[in-house]
Amino acid sequence: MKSTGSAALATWMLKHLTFGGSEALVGDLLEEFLGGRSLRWYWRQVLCAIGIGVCGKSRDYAFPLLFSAAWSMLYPAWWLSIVRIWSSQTLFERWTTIDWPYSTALHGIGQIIPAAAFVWLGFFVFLTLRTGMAHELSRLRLFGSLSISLNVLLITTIGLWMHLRSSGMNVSYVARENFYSGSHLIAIGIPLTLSLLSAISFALSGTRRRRHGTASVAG
Amino acid sequence: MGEHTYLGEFELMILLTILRLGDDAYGVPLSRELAKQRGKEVAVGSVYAALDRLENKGLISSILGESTPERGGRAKRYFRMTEQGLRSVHATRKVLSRLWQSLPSTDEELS
Repeated sequence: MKSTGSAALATWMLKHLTFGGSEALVGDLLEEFLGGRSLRWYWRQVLCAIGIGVCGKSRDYAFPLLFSAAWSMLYPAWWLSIVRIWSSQTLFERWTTIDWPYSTALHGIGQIIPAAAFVWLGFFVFLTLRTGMAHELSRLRLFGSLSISLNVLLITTIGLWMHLRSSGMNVSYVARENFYSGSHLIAIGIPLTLSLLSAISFALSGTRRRRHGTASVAG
Repeated sequence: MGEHTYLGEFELMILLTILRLGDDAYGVPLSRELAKQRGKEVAVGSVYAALDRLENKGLISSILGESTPERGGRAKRYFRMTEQGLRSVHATRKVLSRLWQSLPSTDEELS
């Protein structure tokens, strides 16, 4: 019997670059290789499987990515509609009268809550568009999707704020109506897109795992 | 008449090969039989991609079997056609048979 040592790198690539690739596929290729197929054949099959996996994955995530980017472009309308509400205006004004550091913290919360609500609304719209996906999603997975999106939003927003500050931008400018134009809209869209995409990706991986879970162990 | 899933060429070949292999339908014999029938090598990865698609459509089901040292301790994944899969094969055959009736003969066949 041949040693699998010469094919170790290809096997590792197959396991790690096919997005949780099938153990059965690895086993089949090893069976053929150990049964007499050449190392060249093994590498060709591995690279082909990786290519097919990447193509399939990019097709799976093309719609979620497009949806997330398109949804994030609607954020200015959402934000301005919140700013225009009288009660939120008085709330924002009251926060500015509070002493530092609470005023800064409340200001940050005032930016994050509408953004998180916007992302979550987008997530539920996506679930509605993908008929059947909402039914397949467990409560735990749903909670995971929402919390992952919030974490991604917080991290990327902090990154964006740091970038805007370093480029001389005052964060409070985001409340101005003319802020969301051109490059600012794209910059604001990045955390929103990534946040929504992470929620959808986590939900999608859950529904797929559930479908593939039908493969049971024979007795 | 209910709605049918019509099958692509490769998917149809895989389903028919699963039927032909019976209880021994897992990746290796499936790929070998497909290569033998088509007369050219198949990528095992593309066979698995098609098998996953067919399973998502509910046309086949799979169970994990025994793991052997020849496979590096990995389990075999056995496939079998579901009732829905069989109906789809019949529906596709019916459509193709109707369409093939209008296929003109080639000179080679006539001589």
